[in-house]
Amino acid sequence: MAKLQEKLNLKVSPLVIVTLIISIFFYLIMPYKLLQFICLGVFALILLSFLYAIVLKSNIGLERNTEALKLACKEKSEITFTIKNYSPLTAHVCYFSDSVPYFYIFDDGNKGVISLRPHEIKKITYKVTAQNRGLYHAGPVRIRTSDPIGLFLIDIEVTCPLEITVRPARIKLITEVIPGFPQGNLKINNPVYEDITMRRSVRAYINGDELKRINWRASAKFDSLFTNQYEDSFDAPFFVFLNLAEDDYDLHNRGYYSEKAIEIAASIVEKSRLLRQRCGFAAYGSGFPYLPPRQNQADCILDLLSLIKIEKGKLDYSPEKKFAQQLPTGTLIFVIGPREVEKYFAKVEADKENINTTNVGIMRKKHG
Amino acid sequence: MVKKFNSLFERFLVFLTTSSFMLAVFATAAPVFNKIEQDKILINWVSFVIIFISALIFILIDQIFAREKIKTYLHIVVIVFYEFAAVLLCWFTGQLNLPYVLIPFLVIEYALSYTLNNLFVYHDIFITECGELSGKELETHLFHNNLGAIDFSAKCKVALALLFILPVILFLWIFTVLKIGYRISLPAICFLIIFLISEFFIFFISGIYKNDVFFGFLGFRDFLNDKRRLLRSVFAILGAAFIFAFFLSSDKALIKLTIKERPVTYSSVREIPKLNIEEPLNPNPFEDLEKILPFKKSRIPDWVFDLIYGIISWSFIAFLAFCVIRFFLKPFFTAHWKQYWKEGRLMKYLRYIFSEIKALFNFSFVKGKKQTPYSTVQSQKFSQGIKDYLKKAGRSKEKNEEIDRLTKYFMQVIDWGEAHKISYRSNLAPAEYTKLIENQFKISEAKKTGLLFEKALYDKNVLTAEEEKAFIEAVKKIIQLRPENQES
Repeated sequence: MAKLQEKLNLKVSPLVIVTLIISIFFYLIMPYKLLQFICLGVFALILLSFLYAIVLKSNIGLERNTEALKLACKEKSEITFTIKNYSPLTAHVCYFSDSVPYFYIFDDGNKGVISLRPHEIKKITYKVTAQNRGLYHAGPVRIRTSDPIGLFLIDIEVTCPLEITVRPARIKLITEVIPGFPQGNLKINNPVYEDITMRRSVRAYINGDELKRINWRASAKFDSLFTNQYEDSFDAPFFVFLNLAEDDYDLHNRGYYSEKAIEIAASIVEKSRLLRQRCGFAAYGSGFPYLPPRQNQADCILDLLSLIKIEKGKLDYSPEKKFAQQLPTGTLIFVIGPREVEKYFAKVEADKENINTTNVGIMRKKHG
Repeated sequence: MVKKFNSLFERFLVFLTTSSFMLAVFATAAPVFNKIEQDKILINWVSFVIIFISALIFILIDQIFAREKIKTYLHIVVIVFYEFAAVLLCWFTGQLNLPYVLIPFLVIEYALSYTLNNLFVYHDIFITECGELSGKELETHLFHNNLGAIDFSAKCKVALALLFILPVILFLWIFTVLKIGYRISLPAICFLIIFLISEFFIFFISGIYKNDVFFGFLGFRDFLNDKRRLLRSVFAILGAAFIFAFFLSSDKALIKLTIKERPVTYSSVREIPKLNIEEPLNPNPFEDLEKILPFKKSRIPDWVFDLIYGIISWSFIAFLAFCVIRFFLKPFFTAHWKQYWKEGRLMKYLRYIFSEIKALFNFSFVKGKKQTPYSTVQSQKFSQGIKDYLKKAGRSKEKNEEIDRLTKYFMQVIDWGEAHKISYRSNLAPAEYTKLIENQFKISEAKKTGLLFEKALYDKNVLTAEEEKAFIEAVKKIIQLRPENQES
C-alpha cells in the first residue's frame, strides 16, 4: 500500500482505507437495500475523491520562464515560475514551495498558498538576493493540494531546475580607456585614429586635402570641391590578470581582500563589455584560466569570476612580461593583486571620488 | 487566524449528529424493546422529544462551560441533576417505564455531545491564541507556543475515532434488527441519513481545521479563498455518491454467507461418577473449640462491639453522603456562579448566538462576490505559434531577438484580454485580436499595438527605437486599464 501511494504520489489516511475495505465487504454480504445504500455511498464518496485527486495530480504543471539566471552579489533579482491547472477541476488549496538554498528571499515569496480554478495559470514571482558569488541551483518546486473533501493528499515535486550564477558584486571603480589602435568601436576626436570605412560627413575642400579624399559625386553635384570626413575611432582591447595566490595575501584579511580583487576584476570586465571591446583574462587562481582577448567573451569571464577560488602558492612572475608577447598591440593590461586592493581600500577610506584603475595602480603600461 | 466556518454552524452540526444518532437508535430499537402485549412501553414519542431537546440543552451547556472555563468534573454534576430532572418529568407525565432507557442513553448522548464539541472548542482556543499574527510572526509564535495545536490535534483524533465507531455501531445494530425480522421505519431512515450527512460534514470541517494548524505553522493565516466554491464541490461529490448508491443498491447480497452447524455424535453416554461427600467434622468450629479450649467469658458485652461497629459504619456512610452532597451542591455556592448570574452572562451569550444565526443566514443567502477574471492555459498557445513561425521563416538574429522581445509584451495583452473574456483563437491575426479589444472596450492604444506588432512580425527590417517605445507604452496603458471604470 505504501508503494502504491508512493507511485501515485497520493497520501491517504489508514482510516480511509479501512473504511473503504469495510464498506466494500459489507456491501458484498448485506442483503438489505438500506445497508447496501450506506456502504455504496461511502464507497462512491471515496472513489470520487480518489478520481478527483488523480485527475488534478496529472494536470497540474509547472514551468520556469528561464533555465539560467545571472545576477550580481547583493543585487535583487526576480525568479518567476508559472503554475498551470490543465484540468476542469479546481485545486481549492494549493501550497507551493520553491527551494532556493543560500539565498535571501524577500517576504518569503518562494512559498505560498493559492487556489487554482479550472484551466487557470498563476504566475509566481519573488525577489532574491545573494551575499556570496558562486553557482547555485533553485528547485525543485513542491506542490501540495488535495481533493475538496481532503481524503487524498497530493504531494508532488517538480524538478524544473534553475541555474543561478551569482557574479561578483558591483563596485565603484572608473576604468579610463587610453586610446589603443585606430579603426575600432570607440569614438575619439583625433584624426590620427581616422577610420576610412566609417564616413561621417562631407565638408568643403580645404587647401592641402588629399585628392583621394575628395567626394567627386558631391563635388559634381554642387560644382565645388567637397572632401569626405571620417569617424575617428579606436580599439582598446582589455586584458585582466587576477592574482589569487594564497601566500601573497595576509592571513588575517585573505578572504576579504581576495573577494575584493575579484570584484575589481569583474568591474573592469563589465566596462569592456559596455565599450564593446575585446577582453581577455588570466588568473593565478583555481584552474589557472587563460583567455586571450576576443569579442563577446565578457560573459564567459564573468562566469569564471563567479566560481574562481584562491590557489595555494605565490606569484613569482610578472604578468606583464609573461603575457606581453601573446597580446595584440594596444592592449590595456590590468593587474589586480593584494597591493592594488590595499590601494583601493586606502582610496575608499579617504573618501576619494575619483577612484580609477590608473590611480589605484591596476592599469599597467599598455602593451605596444 | 480567521475562523473558516460560523461557530453556530459547527455547534449545529454537533447537535444534529448527536440527536440524529440517538433518534436513529431509538427509532430502530422501539419495535424491539416495546412489548405492547405486556403493556411495557420503554420508548415512545416522549422519549424522542426528550432526546431531541436534551441534545439542544447539552450543546448549550457545553458551550457555556467552555466559555466560562468550567472544570471537567462538573459535567458529572450536570448530568446527575439532569437525570433527576428527566426522571421527575417522566414521573409527572406518568411515563414510568421511560427512565429505564432514558437514563443510560442520556449519559451516552451527553458524552457524545461533549466529545464532539471539544473538537471545535479547542480549535477556537487555537484560533484565539494565533490572534492577528501572520507570516513570519505567526510561524515564530506557533513554533514557541504549540500547546494549543497539540491539544487540538489530540481532541481531533478522539472525535474522529468516535465518528468512525458510531456509524459502525449503528450499522451493526440495524443489521441485527433487520436480521431478527423487524422493519426499519421511515423516520428511522430519515434520522439515519441526517446522521450520516452531518457526520460527513464534521469530518470535512475537521480536515479543514487540521489544515489550519498545518498552514499556521508555515505562517499562512488565511488559506481558503473561496468557501462557497469549495462547498459546491463537496455538495456535488456528495450528491453524485448518493445517486450512485441509490441506483446500485438492492436487497440481494452479492456474496451469501451461510453458517453450517457441525453435527456432533455421541459415541457413548458417560456416567458421571458420584462423589462421596462426607459430612464435615466440625459444622460449628466455634462450639468445638469451646469444648477443646474452654475460654473465659469476656467482661465486655457483645452489644458494645455492635454499637462501635454501627457508629463506624454509619459515620462512614454519613461522611460519604456529605461528600457527595457537597460535590453536587458546592458549584452553586461558588463566587463564579454568583458572578455569572449577577453579570447576566447567559443573556449576553444568547444574544451572541442570535448574532451568529444572522451571520450564518447572511453567508448562506447573500450572493457572493463576483468571480475575478483570471488567465487560462489557452492564451499560452500564442507564444508557441510565434516560435514555430520564426523557425520556418529565415530571419536575422536581431529580428529574432526583436520578435522575442515584442512577443512577451503582446502576450501580456492577450492575458489581459483573456481575463476580460476576449478569448484568443489561433485563426486571429494580432491586429484582428486587438481590433476586438478596441471594439469592446474603446481603447485606442489597442489598434496601435496590433499594427506595430504586425509590422514587427511580417517586415524584414526591425522597428525603429521610437516605434518599439510606442508599442511598449501602448501595451502598458492597455494592461493598466480597468474596464469597469471606463464603463462607469
